[in-house]
Amino acid sequence: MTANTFGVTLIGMVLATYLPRLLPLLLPTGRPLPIWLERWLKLVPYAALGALIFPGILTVDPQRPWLGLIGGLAAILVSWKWNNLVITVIIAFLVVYILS
Amino acid sequence: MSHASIPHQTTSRHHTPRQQSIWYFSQGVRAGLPIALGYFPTALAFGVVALAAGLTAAQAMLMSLLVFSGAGQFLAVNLIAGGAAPMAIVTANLVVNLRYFVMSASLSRRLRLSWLEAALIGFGVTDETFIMNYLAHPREIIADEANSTNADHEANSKDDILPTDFALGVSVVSYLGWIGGTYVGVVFASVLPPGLTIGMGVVLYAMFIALLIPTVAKSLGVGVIAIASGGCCWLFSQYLSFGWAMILATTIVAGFGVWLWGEGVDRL
Repeated sequence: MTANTFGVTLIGMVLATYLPRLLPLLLPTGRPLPIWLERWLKLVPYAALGALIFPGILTVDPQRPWLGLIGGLAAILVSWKWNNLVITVIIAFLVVYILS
Repeated sequence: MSHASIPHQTTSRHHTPRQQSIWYFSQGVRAGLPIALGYFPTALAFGVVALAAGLTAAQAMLMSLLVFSGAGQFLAVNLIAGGAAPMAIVTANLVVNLRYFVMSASLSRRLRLSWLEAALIGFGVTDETFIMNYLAHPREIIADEANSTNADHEANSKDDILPTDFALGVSVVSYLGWIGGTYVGVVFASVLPPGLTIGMGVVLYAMFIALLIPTVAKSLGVGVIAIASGGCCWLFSQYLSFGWAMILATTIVAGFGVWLWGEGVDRL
């Protein structure tokens, strides 16, 4: 990726990240969205996370797709049990690091 | 993450608004410290993965300084490594970041902000700072957890407005953890053994999983949506680049979810 392409990408990313965070704080509070849109916005994060996890997790080590899968399973179990981001990340990392 | 509660008998102990402002800010910093500690290794992994994807150290730092979004940044470097076009990267970021819109909309109901404050607080909205500010808001906690018996929450239930300086403190310390971790990551990336780099490749996915599972534990329907979306993404990625497959799977599956689930979505 050239420096220029990176610059364009970064500016786009800044806008795509900052505007969704900023706009609701600037708009008058309590203005309701259409109910279907509110529901859709509520589900999008979970659908996005699903699509981000799979099939991407198979490419943690492209030669050994199972490595990512096992790390992911470890993360699911740990997250389910302790509900803690840091512990989940560290254990998944250790599992993959030890197996690789 | 434990429930944060803001002691509110501060007016009697702190006389000037400035003192009170500083006190709220320091309370926010304290509440945000565990977030910063979690961000540090995550950002370190980001620095390593970013360099492996071909970014320079300066580019990786710039991204952490200006974007401040773990999921978005990891996603971007993954797509960059795969040779994706800027348009696909930005659109994928927008899709992932739509959740910030929902979070900020929720926060806006309990913050009273000037434009400048909104610009600062808005920049600091992440999954973790949002949850911290959300839990620091007593009325929501009581509404969400009917079985909650914590007296602190009940004592606070008259406080509807979150102090701006508290939210600012949470964000500032989290941001410093993110920047610091990225710096250490890009500086030490070259001396790390390759196994460590592969291990760090899973950090992104572990983070996504940690964001998803708590809601799945409460509502299995969310798990069904995530699995359906992952399946569609895999299917679409046979024909499209990953960025577009992910965007398409997300919008379609979320749409189907609204259609099939209807009012059930409101209870999430």
